[in-house]
Amino acid sequence: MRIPCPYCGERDAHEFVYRGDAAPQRPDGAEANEAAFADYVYPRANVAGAMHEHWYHAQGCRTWIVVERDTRSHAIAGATLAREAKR
Amino acid sequence: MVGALPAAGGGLAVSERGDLGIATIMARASSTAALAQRVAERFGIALIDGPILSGAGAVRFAGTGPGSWLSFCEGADPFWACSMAVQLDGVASVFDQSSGYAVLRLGGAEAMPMLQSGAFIDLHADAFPVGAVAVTVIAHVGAILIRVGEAQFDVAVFRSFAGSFWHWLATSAAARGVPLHRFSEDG
Ligand SMILES: [Zn+2]
Repeated sequence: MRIPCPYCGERDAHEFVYRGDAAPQRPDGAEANEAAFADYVYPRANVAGAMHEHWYHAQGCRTWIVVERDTRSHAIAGATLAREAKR
Repeated sequence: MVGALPAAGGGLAVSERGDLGIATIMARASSTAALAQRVAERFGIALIDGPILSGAGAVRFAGTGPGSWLSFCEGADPFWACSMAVQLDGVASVFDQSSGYAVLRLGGAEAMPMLQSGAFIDLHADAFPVGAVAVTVIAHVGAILIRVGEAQFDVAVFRSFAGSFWHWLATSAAARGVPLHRFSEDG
């Protein structure tokens, strides 16, 4: 699998570290209760289809990116730097 | 000196660039534009935030990631990185890597095919022209590739991995039947 890094260009997947779903938002530590944190840390949707994922380009630009990948076909629709991704 | 590297004919010429000062330059948060302006003022270099080599003189900046560069200075004194930190004070963080990286210069007709046999990126001149930079891996060793000429590449690896990289280079050259010429800068 080739991943289109926004900085480096297309690179082999073995240069990257996979983190997972990019959708969960960290709750405000001062405000949130345990249930909100458990929800943030553990349950995942197991999407069949297009999803946004965090990948770390460890053997490249050493930057987190958000990749839109279809989990059924591995087709990649695009990628953005995580720092520039819409939250 | 690197300029004295003899022509390698059909082979592969390798020399270590031992005279380099090396430093990591990282723009402070939201300071990439300010850093570019400072570099333009102090060095007359148009700093590009991308995987490209900026500068053509003794000091050059190789883009290694968003807002980060590996800068090189030919014939640098031991305090060069410190002076760099002073020059870029307030807009970038500067880390001395002069002893952290080993930089090899590969030249000759076999330089590109050799590197291509180890790197998972397209090194054809259309995709990786002179001035292009890539941070990638060769034989599981992190390597920064810079195309400095049509048939000339600089390869920076962490110094403690230089022996492993050399092993890959020598073994791969032998497997490909490529004569390898090793030059010392001391002559
Ligand atoms: Zn990258």
